[in-house]
Amino acid sequence: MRLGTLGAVGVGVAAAGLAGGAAYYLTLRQRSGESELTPKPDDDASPVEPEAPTDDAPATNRAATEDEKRVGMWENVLPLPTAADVSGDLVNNWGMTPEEFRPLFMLMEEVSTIVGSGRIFSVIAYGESRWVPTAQNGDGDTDRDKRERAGSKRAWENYKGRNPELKFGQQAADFGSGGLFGALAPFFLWTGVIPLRSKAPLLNSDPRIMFLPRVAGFGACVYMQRLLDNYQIDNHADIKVGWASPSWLKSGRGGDNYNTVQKKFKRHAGEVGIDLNDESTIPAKLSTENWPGVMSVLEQLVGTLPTLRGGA
Amino acid sequence: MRDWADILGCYDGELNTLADLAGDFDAASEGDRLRWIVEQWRRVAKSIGWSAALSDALGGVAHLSDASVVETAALQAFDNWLAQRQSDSSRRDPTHARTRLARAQIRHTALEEIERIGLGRRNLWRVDIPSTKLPNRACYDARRPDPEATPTITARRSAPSSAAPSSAAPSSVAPRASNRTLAMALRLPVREAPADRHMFRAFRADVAPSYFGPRYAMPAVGCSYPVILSLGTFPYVYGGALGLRPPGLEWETGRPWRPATIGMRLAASFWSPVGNLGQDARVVVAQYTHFRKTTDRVLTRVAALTDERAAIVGKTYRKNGLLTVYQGSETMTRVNGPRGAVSVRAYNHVKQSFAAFFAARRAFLRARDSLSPAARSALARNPDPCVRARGIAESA
Repeated sequence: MRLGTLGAVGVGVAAAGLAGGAAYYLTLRQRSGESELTPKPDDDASPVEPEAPTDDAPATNRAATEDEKRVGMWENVLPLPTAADVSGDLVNNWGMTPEEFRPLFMLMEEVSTIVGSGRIFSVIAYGESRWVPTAQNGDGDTDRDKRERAGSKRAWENYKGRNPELKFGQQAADFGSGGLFGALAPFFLWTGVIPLRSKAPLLNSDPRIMFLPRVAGFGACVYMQRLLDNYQIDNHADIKVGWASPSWLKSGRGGDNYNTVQKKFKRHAGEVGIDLNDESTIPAKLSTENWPGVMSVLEQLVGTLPTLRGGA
Repeated sequence: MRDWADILGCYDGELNTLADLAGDFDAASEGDRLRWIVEQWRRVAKSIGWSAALSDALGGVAHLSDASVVETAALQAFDNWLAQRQSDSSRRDPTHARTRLARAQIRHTALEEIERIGLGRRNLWRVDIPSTKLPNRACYDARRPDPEATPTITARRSAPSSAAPSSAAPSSVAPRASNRTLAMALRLPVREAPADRHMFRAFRADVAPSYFGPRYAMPAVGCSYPVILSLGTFPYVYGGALGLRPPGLEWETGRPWRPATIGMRLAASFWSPVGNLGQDARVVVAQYTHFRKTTDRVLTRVAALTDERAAIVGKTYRKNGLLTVYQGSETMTRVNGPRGAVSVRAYNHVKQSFAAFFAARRAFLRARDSLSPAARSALARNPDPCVRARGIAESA
């Protein structure tokens, strides 16, 4: 299932090699003149399953097989967190964030200890996937899919020599981007590679693991921490700029791309109904002061790393 | 010997299973009935997205010993939540405040009249009333809101307010382009009779074949249209609009007009003995049977979730009579079909609404000896042959 839901600007990139590949990829998207979707009643920004066969057509399990192939069947997957799994507020300033995902975003905030990040994660997920965990750009034949694949391929080619080997490197190169936070596959699998090098946890994973919300959340937490610790983040929209391309937080600061992403992020927050200036839920400045480390975040969010049924 | 226990079997053999979805209760026990009603409020609130507001409201009620206290608190919470929600969205579209007010007024007064007519017909679950019998023909004129009239919505199934419908006098002024655009965006009519050129329908003409019923015979022309509203499944009031946005929640509040809160109150009324036993269940059965048949076709490919270890992320499954999305959002997921998309949330909400109706009907009939005089009276006037055939109505 292909979704036209990923934001026009930016995909989440993982900790390693932040600048080059992502910037190139995003530039490609910008050149295309794509505009982001605005929510409309029952528009295409939500998953639509195929129509049922007509009355006289036999039901088949072909669709299930295709889904299985695209998303994978995973073992050791923890259920989505519920309200009972978090202590934070799931009521105020969440706007239209689906209730099913609020505990996940709050758990990400609590596990990463980045106070206020939960609502920021929700706005980012809205912009990147419209909160659809299996969103992907790169599995079809549209121009956008081709650009996404070009982006992931470039990321793989540019960084494979510098980063630890990926068991599914070629699949990641061909994957494009996806998941709740719109991650570009090679960078996603290199999550945590800077502090952990060859012990980074996703090096042996199939890129489809990013469809698992908890795993996508793990990657997003690590990426947010990297941005906050290594880049000048003047406001919350700067986080989204860094999500799009960290270089726009440096040499590109104040440029057209920077301003475009800033504006879109704020617009997305308004559409979701999250007040970025509500300091009772989102501090003016997010802090990683108590960041527990990559493996601690993984352990608390994901637990045992899921594996594909039958291997990998 | 009368078979009291299987009263639902008279309508459809599967209704007992459906009713079990909503849970059973002892209607003779005030405490157990109250527990069940609070459960229904929590279910509806969770489904629509105001569970936090409801929890706060019920938490602030010192004595949850009276269903009317619970209802008042819940409706107030819903009203406040909806006003806030609509205020957030109207801030992004401030140009049509006057239109919204006019529409809110007409919907509000129309619903009050619908309630009056529906009670007389023993059917409020899915009403079908020509617009010509409703105030202002259930059409609004954006230029003529009547803010002087004051409605009331707090009394259960109250008589219609004395609010006079605003004038529907034709105007020679041509419709403004913005009104036309707005109406088209809301799927309201663009085809008008000459005298109605400046008037717009307050409700959709839900005449096409839908998940709630077959094609409707009466044509819809301008402000002469059938007002067909499934109030028992509010806020999913139209059979062709089971997508991501419940249409009843789009009924704007324009103080003092609160049509959505009236809709919510009417839906909840079926959990009470008088409201439930006053309803001719044949209407509900027919709609449920149609809903089941048409959605089953759409959901042919949706597999049962028997083992989560074999589930696929983001995929929709059947589970315990409802739909669920594995590791995804029920709010954001829908299944496409020939009568429109069916969102997981809408399907579950509608099915549970039917379940609650039949669970309450079963429980109230089982406890018929303890019914209040008002409930007995409602039952005695019910033309439902399933009730009459078994002598239940007479015994009441």
